[in-house]
Amino acid sequence: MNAPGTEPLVDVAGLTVRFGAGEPVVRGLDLRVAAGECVAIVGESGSGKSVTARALLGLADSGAAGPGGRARVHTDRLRIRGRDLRGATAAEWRRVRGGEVGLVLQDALVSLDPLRTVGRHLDDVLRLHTDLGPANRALRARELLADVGLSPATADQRAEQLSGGMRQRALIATAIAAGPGLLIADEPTTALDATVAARVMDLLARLRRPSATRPGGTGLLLISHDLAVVSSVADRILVMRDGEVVESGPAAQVLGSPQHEYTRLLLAAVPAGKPRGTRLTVTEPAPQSPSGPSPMRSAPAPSVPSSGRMPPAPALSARGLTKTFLRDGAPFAAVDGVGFELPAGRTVGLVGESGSGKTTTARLVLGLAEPDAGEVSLFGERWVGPGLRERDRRPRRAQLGAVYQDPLSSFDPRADVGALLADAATGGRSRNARRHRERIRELLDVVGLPEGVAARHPRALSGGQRQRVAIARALAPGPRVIVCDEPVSALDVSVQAQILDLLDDLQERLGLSYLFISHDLAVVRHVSDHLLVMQGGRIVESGPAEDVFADPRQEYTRQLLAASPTLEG
Amino acid sequence: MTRWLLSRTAGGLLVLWAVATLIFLGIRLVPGDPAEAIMGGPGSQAPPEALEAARVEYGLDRPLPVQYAVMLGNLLRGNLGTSYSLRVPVADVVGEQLPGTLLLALLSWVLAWILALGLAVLTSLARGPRWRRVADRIGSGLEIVAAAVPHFWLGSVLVLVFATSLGWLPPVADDTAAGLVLPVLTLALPLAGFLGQIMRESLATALSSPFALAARARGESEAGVLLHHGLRHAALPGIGLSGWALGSLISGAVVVESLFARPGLGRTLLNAVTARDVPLVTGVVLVSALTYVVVMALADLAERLADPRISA
Amino acid sequence: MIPELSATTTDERGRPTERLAARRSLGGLAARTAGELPALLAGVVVLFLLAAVAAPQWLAPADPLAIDPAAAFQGPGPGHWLGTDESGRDLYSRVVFGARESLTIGAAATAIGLALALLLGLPAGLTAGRARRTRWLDTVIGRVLEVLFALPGLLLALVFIALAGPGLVTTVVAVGLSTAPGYARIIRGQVMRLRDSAMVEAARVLGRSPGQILLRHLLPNALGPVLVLATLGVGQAVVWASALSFLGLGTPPPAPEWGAMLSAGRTYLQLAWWMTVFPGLAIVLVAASATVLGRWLQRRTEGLR
Repeated sequence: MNAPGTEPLVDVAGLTVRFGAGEPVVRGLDLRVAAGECVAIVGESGSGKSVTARALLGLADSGAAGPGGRARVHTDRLRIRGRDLRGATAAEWRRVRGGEVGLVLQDALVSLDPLRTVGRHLDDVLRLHTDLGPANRALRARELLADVGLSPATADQRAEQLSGGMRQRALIATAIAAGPGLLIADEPTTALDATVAARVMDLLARLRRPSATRPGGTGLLLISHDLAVVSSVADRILVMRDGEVVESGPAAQVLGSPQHEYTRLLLAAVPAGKPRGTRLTVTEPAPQSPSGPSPMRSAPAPSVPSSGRMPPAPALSARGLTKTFLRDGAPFAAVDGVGFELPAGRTVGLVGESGSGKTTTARLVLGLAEPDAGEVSLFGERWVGPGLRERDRRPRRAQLGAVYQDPLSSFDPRADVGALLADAATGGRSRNARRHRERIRELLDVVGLPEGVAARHPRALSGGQRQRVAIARALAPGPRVIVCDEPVSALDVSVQAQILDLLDDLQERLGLSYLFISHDLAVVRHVSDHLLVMQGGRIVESGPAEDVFADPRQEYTRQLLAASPTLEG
Repeated sequence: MTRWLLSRTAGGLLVLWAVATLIFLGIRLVPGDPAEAIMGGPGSQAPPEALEAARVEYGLDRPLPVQYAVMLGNLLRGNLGTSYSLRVPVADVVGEQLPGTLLLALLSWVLAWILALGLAVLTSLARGPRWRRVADRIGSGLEIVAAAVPHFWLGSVLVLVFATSLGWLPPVADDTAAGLVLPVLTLALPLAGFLGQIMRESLATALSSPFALAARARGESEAGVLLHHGLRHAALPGIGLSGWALGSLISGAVVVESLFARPGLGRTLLNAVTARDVPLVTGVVLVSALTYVVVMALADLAERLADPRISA
Repeated sequence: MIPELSATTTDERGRPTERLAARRSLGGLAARTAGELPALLAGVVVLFLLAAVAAPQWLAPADPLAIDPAAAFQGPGPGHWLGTDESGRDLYSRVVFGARESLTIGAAATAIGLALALLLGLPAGLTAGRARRTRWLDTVIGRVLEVLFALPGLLLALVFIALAGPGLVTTVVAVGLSTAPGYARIIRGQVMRLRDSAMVEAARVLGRSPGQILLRHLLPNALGPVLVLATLGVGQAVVWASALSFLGLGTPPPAPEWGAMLSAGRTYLQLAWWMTVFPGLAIVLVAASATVLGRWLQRRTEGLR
């Protein structure tokens, strides 16, 4: 038996989880976390990392996805602070949950009961795991809120009254309320803005440190899809794929000299710090269609050279765009005097946090909302502005395409892929996929999808495949400019890498111009020639992408840069 | 709060005025002589002089705008007119019949809530995906059948079983508590089926939500999760459906009161409709509409109490 | 080969949907069939009812109106499966023949209700929260609906009957009127949701005109939920229409209408329970089947949203 000080907080061997009679979703996982240590499990969706986290709390059954039947968990060893929990009763598990192990769930936005205040949530934990009276519990709740950097008044607020970052902090407060030795954080920064995410990670790192109550420090098990996020805090990293740990070791070793092919693929896919033009996928893209004319019939000939003289008119130019909404009865400028130029064949990246006005800018540029002031030109011709109506724009719509974050919701739910593409390719005149088979095949080929996809419904496709279909649809009318609004934000890192590479290829082959909008600085940097930083409806900094990164002029840009996770080690 | 009360009152008055006007216009648009209805219906063969006298008596000989103004003026003073068939002030009839119906509806409504929530909680106790599915099947089957059962048939069957065959309960509603059991059950069961479908779904959603998982991860027991995080979420849509529930109770009361020979507003309405006693119909309908306005205001209040998100 | 293509199917959040895998296996097929069992049963009931509507004489050879006083009040047995009524008419035949009457009333009432609801809900949904020029339409319709909602359930129908007098046509119109406001509100919400959806936005980016968007995207996608409503609605309308008949305000007695049959049976409740139980069962069967089928349709079309 280990000495009390060296006893790992969690000691798991051979953890296997399966649902019903299905294939195991976690296979033979070994895991040890010592006090004060941070271990990270990294994997993409479906790797089994979240199920692992829940299994450590005896909650494997409670996941959102419970397919195929009851969760069956098998372990060769499952000890938490030296106590064997195999075959533990429900009451024993309840003492562990919250008391010995705190869990911070993936989705801060929905992990607090919307009908109850933060204070009630904290009170629950203290009531269950301490013998404090009501008055002392209320006092302790306020202390805990202060510990996670929230004001005591937060105790009387509910989830919808708090920002995403505050909710995550409140949730962390509930997880640490009973002073558990181990904290499990499942994707604690997903859906948070970069600067907010950085502060939440700082908080988690701070909670690890030894304190009066916990001289050995708190153990932290961090679960994430993002190697860059964990690289700065993790002592050890486990890389999971399809339920198995493919690589594990000290962080520096895993990040510095990855042994497994999949780890290398994941590392290559991280866009952070990779200059424009670098490929993110290890595998070469699918062989392009055999030689011959460009498969994009209606696309303009790639007349735009990637180097040399710029054509006179920019693909897009916006001047003084302003859009004001009413918020709580008061006017509020979502977009305030935004102007930029997108040279033909280039990419302008627009980066900003939530609420900065990125998406409104995209809608104004696309002519989906009318600006209160300002105008947009498309290849030198006025496109949006005073006196221009949708009817005037419609004949030129084919020149401007759009790709969104959630492709599925932008598809007509009644159409399969072929019908979607036929509709887009024929200007809405036909949905008959068979009649336009050749054209659909071309479009699918361009985005690297096999012809067979045409007969399938987008729902039956993976996230990456759906986004490829969305790109194919945007290409169908033969546009020369595409507005991409968070096109990779919902995708796994490796899939994101494929889509980013695809967009790069298409730009080169078809001379497309992109307005690329994202909250992710690393992604924007990787794809953009020119960068716009947006805050509070205004563009606070703009310049050639590498210049902005090398020498940010504005404080806000510096903050964003500092908050953007990079690979360390 | 004052603003809420004012806007609610104004909205309610608007609704009542519109209902009264609608009925007034309806009477004039539809062919048929109200005087005949007064004299006992079209088949009564009343002499023209009697019809004329009736017209004068009820002010039907005056120009339409005047009749309309008189009606509104009377309504403002709480005068609902005189019943054609009963020949007494409508307000008296309504005032006499209202309490019994309110009691019946209220009891049924409470029972329906208990049954619906109870079934929702019971089925939520099933553990494991398979039992879960079985419990869901049974629960939703019971609810669908209950919601599909017409009041008039359910009442008859209940009488057949509990009064005729078993003799436990009286087949006709009397003033005793026992006489109230079958009418209340008849009204409550279909409503419970309807409410239950929505409450069970909402409870299941709450119990499988991330915040419920977070609560379990804090060491909360299943009972605790249900109590702290489940019930309020289950109750909310039930409150939201109060208007619908009232509709079901009023429609049901018409049937149940006549089925169990229980005096009340529903039976009064049915008799009035059969006799085409327009003032009485108008009176009962206006009182129902007023009840609806009040119930909706109370439901709104309850919803604000149960769901703090709304009042923000 | 693109690595991603080999990945398993995933849902919106990127979680693998193992349903597909389950569907392929035989056990999965069995589970799925069992899962659809209620819908299957409801489908059988509806098929039987439709047959009863189309050709009742095939299902029930006896004349539903043929009086045979000698055979009055016979209990269910080999000669008369469901017994006979006070005039010796075969109850089974009357229930089968009653399907046409009851279902026609239910379908017609639902059609009226839905048509009215579309008329109110569609313009309201299209104008709600939009330009000040057109928004008044939604406000006005909203007020009208509020007034109609204040006459919930059968109340509106009863008022209508009080004004227009009882009868078959009145019943149909009255029940249709009563159901309209509820449908209208749902349709309004549906249209608003679709109108502001990313799908419509994408169609605008592709250069589609408002007319094209309305015809090709809005209406077809709104139709699914309306069909679900119609299915659920027919069941409810049958119940309400028969309630009116039961109260003596709908179809007059000799006709084999379920509500009217129940009304007649009520007098002989102590004597001949079958006269009450079987027509009522038919109503319950219709309403329950409609609910089951409607929810099944809802699940099917919701997957499409």
